[in-house]
Order: sequence, then structure tokens, then C-alpha cells
Amino acid sequence: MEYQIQARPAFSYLDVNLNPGEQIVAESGAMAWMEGPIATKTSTRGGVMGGLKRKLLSGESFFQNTYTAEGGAGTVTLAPGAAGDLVATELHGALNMQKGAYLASTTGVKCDSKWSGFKGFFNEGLFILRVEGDGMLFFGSYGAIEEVQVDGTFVVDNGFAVAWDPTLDFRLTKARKIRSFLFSDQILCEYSGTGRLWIQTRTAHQLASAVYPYRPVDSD
Amino acid sequence: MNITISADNTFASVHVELQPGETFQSESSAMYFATSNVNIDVSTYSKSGKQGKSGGIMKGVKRLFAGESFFLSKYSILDDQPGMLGIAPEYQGAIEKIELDGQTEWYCTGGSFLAATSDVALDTRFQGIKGFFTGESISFLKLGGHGTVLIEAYGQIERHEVQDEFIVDTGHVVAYSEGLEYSATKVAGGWFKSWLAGEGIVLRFRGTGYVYTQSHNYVGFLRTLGPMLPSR
Amino acid sequence: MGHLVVQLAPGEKFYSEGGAMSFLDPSVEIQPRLLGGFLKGIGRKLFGGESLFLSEYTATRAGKVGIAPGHLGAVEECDLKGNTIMLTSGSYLAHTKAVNLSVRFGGLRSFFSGEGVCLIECSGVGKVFFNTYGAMVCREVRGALTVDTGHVVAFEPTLDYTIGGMGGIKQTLFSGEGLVMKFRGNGKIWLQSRTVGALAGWLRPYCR
Repeated sequence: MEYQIQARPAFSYLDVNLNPGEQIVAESGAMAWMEGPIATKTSTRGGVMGGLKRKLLSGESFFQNTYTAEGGAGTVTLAPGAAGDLVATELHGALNMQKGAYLASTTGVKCDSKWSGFKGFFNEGLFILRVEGDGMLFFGSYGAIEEVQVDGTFVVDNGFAVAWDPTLDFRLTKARKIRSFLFSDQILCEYSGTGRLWIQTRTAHQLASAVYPYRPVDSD
Repeated sequence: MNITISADNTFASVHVELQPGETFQSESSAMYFATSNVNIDVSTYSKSGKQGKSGGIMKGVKRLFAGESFFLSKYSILDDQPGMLGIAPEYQGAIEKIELDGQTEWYCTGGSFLAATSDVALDTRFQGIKGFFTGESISFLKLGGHGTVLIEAYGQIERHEVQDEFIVDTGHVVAYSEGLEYSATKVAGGWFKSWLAGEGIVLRFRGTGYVYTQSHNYVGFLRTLGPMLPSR
Repeated sequence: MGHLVVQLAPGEKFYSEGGAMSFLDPSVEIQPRLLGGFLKGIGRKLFGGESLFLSEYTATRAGKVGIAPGHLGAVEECDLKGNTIMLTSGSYLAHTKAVNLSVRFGGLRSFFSGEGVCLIECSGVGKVFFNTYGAMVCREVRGALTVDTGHVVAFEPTLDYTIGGMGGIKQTLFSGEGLVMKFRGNGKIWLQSRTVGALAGWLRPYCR
């Protein structure tokens, strides 16, 4: 299997070249275009209940698709929904990432949304996915992506952290002096320890707030 | 102080390096990371232009698009080491620097103000045009003093030198310099024709100065995206 | 990231999607025009979102006009030279005088997403400008290519296509893909790396 992240740094997409018999698993809806004898299988990866729970808790799609090159080589091009960049990383162990950031992985990688370490931690429905296994992992950002080597402490506004090594601890904190009781937006996250932290330069929450007045209104 | 705008202009961001004793200010939700020695002080700007005090009557200024209140954060360094903070706009798009020389004042839309050095004064008293036929309105922040202002936009930012007259669709106005007057008007003659042409209200700038425009229309984009989302 | 700035000579005319004007020198006049007479008088938007209305610009003296695409991405200029190109609705941006546009219904309307495929056929001797959401990818199809409909921007009419779901009903309903276009033949195709539908899907869990 070969892959190439194209069109960096904005609106990046992923070309995956599969040799006969090879597979790639992707978030449903991520397939942009494909060429060659590719078979698509939609599965809930863990049974109906597992998939449903994963969707509700993590916001990750209920369905993941498995693409297999059958009888010949083929190419699958995957694109995330968010406008932004993509990261390819070799996973040997675990990584924590924001829901909605997951794009694709090889079959040895599993996604777990019920890891209790995060329960109720983040606000605004920001649930975290714990990804474990051995293989390639592809995730995306909303906005540009910056990788930070944390060694000590580092403060990030909630929502901007995309993925981080599980060796990092985190705690919520606030700006030191908030003189306005109206300003409840800024919840900061302090990461401590040693490990990699990927941050993005935009958040879904900002876009969700901006688009709110333009959504259809419930008419009773 | 070191202000570095990212090379990528599609999702531009700024890294600000502060030395002990230096201060900086930004729209409050714009800070996305900071080293732990950066102190963050948040306050609102009231309509009279004075800084809000807790317990007093405060009303943020409505931003052009989101209608949010305007909160300003001030940053300083807590210890004797340099610190770093990251400032990112809300929109997908570019960041531009405007240098204020203490003489010319500038006006930017509420949504386009991102950050500034501390000697830049913001006047949030309402400047603009309200209550159009179509319900649109536009308001500006006045920027004065000496220093650097960072503005944000949806898409790319372009600067136009105006020597006489220049017309900009309200969805594309970002900032303009003192020396220009503007009036709201509709293009293509009567109201009916203007509606057909798709243009809403445009601003006709007259005088001598500069106008900054953004290449894309944020409200237009939200109007396309909104109906695809669940109802509220 | 692309947008279009056109410098017009005195007397020159130009056309764009209605409502796309971002800035204008006062010497350029703007008038509304109706596209091709298709579905005259019925609503402003076709299913698929392409406005029926165009703006016509006439320069009384030399002047510039800024045209804003609907989405962040690239803008492509195509010099037709007598050839024809098919654009998907939403990607048409602007054209010069000697180009003919006509609207074609491209195929199957999805029951689920409400999307249809609406195409604009552009032919003639002149330039047509189209835009993408995201990065623009131009490639040659040699044989076959399957594309999620939201990612198709433009293609040469030498390509045939069928529209359908990804597989069985279950695949279509649950696979996340709306519709796909399966292209056959030889010809050029322009693709984009994002769709607003997928952005909405990504944003949905964050909406309360």
C-alpha cells in the first residue's frame, strides 16, 4: 500500500494505492473518487450496537467503509469533511484524538470511544476517540495543523487540540482574570508531560456558532 | 516583540513572541495556544468605548455577522522569560497587517478585527449604517494610535487605492482608511433590478485612501451551509 | 485561493453568476440577466443551487470588477476555442461574451439528499471560468473513474457517465456516499477535494 497526502496545506486529500488484496478502512463519506477494481464494504465494525454507541458518543460515523482492491490494483482517494490539512502517522500503541478528526486507517487500528478516561471531560460535545493498534493512521484538522513537542506544560484553547500522545496529561483551566461574567467561552486546556500534541488553527465550535442563525427553524 | 504571520494564507494564524514587560491585545476567542507564562486578562468593551468594569452595566458591541459581543483579551508575561501565544481568526482566510502611524485612523468591520499591539486604541462607538430595506447593516470599529493592527478576512485580502470612487459589496468590505467617506447604495438602478442582479447593498467609497476587501462572502457561505444542518 | 479580478476595456462586456460581484470601479455598469431562458420565471435557484440569474457588466470606461466564487478554492480559466465543457451546478463562475450556456438536467435525483445533478453546458468561442470548493484536481480519464457526485466540477462531453448509489440500497443509505458518477471513456475531468455536504456532515455533531 502506498499513500500520498496531496494539496497541502489547505484542503488536503489522501491518495491510497492498493495492491491486489490490500485494504483501507475509512470514515463513511470520505471516498471522493476511486479507480480500478475496488470493492466497498460497509460495516459497523463491532456490530450494530457497537457502531451506534460509537456514533452517539464520539460523533464518529456510525459506519466505516472498508475498501479492498479485488483482482487488481486500484486507487482510492479520500477527503475529510472539514476544510484543512491531513496528517499521516504510524501508530504503534495509542493516540487520543478529537471526534471528527479521524479519516482512515489500516485494518490493524481500532477506534474506541468508550475509554472512560475522558468521560464528561470536555464541554461542547467534544468527545475524544482513543485509537489503538498497529498500522497507519490518517486524521485531519479544521484549519492548518501544527505539531508541538510538549515537554513541560502547554496551554491550548479547548477545541484546538486535534490529537495527542496518551503520555500527556491535561486539565482544564481558565484565563487568569476574567472581568466579564458574560465571557464564558474561553476554557483552556493545560497539557503537561512529554509527548506530541497536534493543534489546529480553527475550531468546529466557531463555525457552529456562526452558522446557527442560518439553520432551518423548527416549526411546530 | 515578534509578530509572525504564517506562510499559508488559507488558514492563516499568527505567532506572537512577547518579552517580559511587553503586552499585546486580541479579540478574546482568537487565542488558541499560549506558553504557561502568558497572563490573560479578559474584559468587554462597552458602547461608550470605555473598558468594562465588573459590576457595571456592560454591553458588548454587536459584530457584523455573528452578533456576538466584543471581548478583548490583554496578554502580558508573568515571569522573566519570553512567552509565545498563537492567535487565530474565526474564518478560513488570510491575515493582514495594518501599520498605524499615529496620524491616519482606520476603520475595520467588527468581525475583521483580530489583534493589535497595546498602543492601538479601539473605539467601539457605533459607526455605520443600520436598518436597510433588506435588514442588513454594517458597523465599523475605529482604530487609532500608534502600532500594528492585524485584520482577518474570509478568503484573501486585497488592498485597493481609491483616488476618486470605488464600490464594494457589503459582504466584502474589511477595512478603510480615514480620508474616505462612504454611502450605502444599490447598484443597477432601482430596487427591483438590484435584487435580480443578486447584489445586496453596496458601499460607495469617495475620497482618497485605501480600502481592504475580502475575496469571499462569509454570509453567503453560511446561507449555503445552514440549510444542510439540523433545524434548531 | 482563487477569486477573479477582471480588467475591462471601454465597451467590453463580461458575465458572472448573479450576486458574485465583490467590488467595482464606478465606470463599470451592472445589469441582471436571465440564463438561457430555461425555467423562465420559476424561482431563483435550480435544484443544485445554481442561480438562474447572471450579472452583465459593461465598461463605459476602462475599469475593474472583482468576482467572488461561492466557495474557497481554486478558479480555473478555460478557453473553449469552439469546444464544449460540462460544468456542475455551483461551479460556474463567469464567462466572456461569445460563450453559450445552457442548463441540462444531468440525471437521477437522490431521494435521500435531495441533490440532483444539474449541468451547465458551455460552448462557443470564448472563456468560461469555474471554481472549486477546495483543491482543484485535473486528470485524464482513460477507461473508467468513479467519483462521488459532490466532487465533480467539470468534464469533457467525450465522457459518458451513469449515476447511482454505491452498491445495494443498504450501501447507498448507509455508506455515507450520496451518489456516485461512474465515468467511462476518454476525456478530461476536473475534481475538487471538498464538498459542502461533507462539511455539513462533519459539523453536525457540534451543532446543538
